[in-house]
Amino acid sequence: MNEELLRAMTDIDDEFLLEADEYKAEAVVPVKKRRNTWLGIAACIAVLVILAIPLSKISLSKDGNILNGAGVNDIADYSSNSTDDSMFGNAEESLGENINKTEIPADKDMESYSSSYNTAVNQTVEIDGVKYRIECTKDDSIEDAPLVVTAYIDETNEFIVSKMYEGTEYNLDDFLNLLKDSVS
Amino acid sequence: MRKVEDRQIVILYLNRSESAILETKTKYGQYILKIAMNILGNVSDSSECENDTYLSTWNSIPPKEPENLKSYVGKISRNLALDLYRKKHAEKRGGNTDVLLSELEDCVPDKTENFSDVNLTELLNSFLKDQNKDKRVMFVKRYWYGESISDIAKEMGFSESKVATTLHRTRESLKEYLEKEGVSV
Repeated sequence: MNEELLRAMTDIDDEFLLEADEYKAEAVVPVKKRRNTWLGIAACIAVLVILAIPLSKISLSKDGNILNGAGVNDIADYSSNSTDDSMFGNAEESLGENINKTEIPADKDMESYSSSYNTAVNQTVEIDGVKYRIECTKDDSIEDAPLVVTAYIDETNEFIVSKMYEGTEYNLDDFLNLLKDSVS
Repeated sequence: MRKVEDRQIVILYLNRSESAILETKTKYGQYILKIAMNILGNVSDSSECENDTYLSTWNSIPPKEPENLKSYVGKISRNLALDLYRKKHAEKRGGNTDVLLSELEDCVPDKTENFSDVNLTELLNSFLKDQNKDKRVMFVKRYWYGESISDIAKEMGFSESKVATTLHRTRESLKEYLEKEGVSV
């Protein structure tokens, strides 16, 4: 009988559902948003400081030439412009390594970046001349909520692929492989 | 991220454009997943429920043309999650939904008959309308969204004991209300 009651609740008026869902936004979220904004700013500054050193040291060789100070996107452009398949493969590998080392905090605690219903971390990678945006979201209002990692075409916002990871971390190589498989 | 208006998404469904599903996922994917997670309590079942919600929405629009897409997909997700819960837990008990069900026993009148003949949803709407906003929000968060008492307390800025006490009193009021409306004999 109580299950019947629980089920009967499903069809209660929309206004009650929206009222309950939006209550948080009215009363508490502004404080949380402010806190998250400061956390976001602090995280950005920290990432910029961390990036400053390794990016300046990145180098990639082609025919003995050294590319000093190349950014991730530069490396991706370099790979996509190459007509040599084997070189493209190497460059892609380097791209993955460099992202791992520098930009995506894949192995970091995502909770400090996340907030309910909000995009946590954005990252852009380039494959075959197309820029893809990787977004990580985690609803911290749910205990043990999955970390949802989604890739879109950056320019058109077209959805490409999404995968859920348990916990607060995801495997970047695994997701990039999935993305490459999806677009190849 | 770009957000498309609900009406535009409904039009995509009406035009049988598959991008309707992607737009729904983009805008309400987390909402749908959260409802399923609160009932089912694990990622794989909730993910299955989320996908079934998109399919069910695709199959039902048209002929339906919901004015509020968010609550429409939320209700579908909740129903599917309850179905899946019943299927998977026919023998095995435990988890958040069992707790919700046992709490709702307080609301069921001692002697009930013809329970299925009564329009419970209408009675619930009427009951909720008579409650003050805080009580109503608490009740819906707990028994519609399946949120934990600690999460409700955090979101609403109350202590956990206040939330638990208020919910207990609201359940008792609902029981009295259902009895008064002739649900019991």
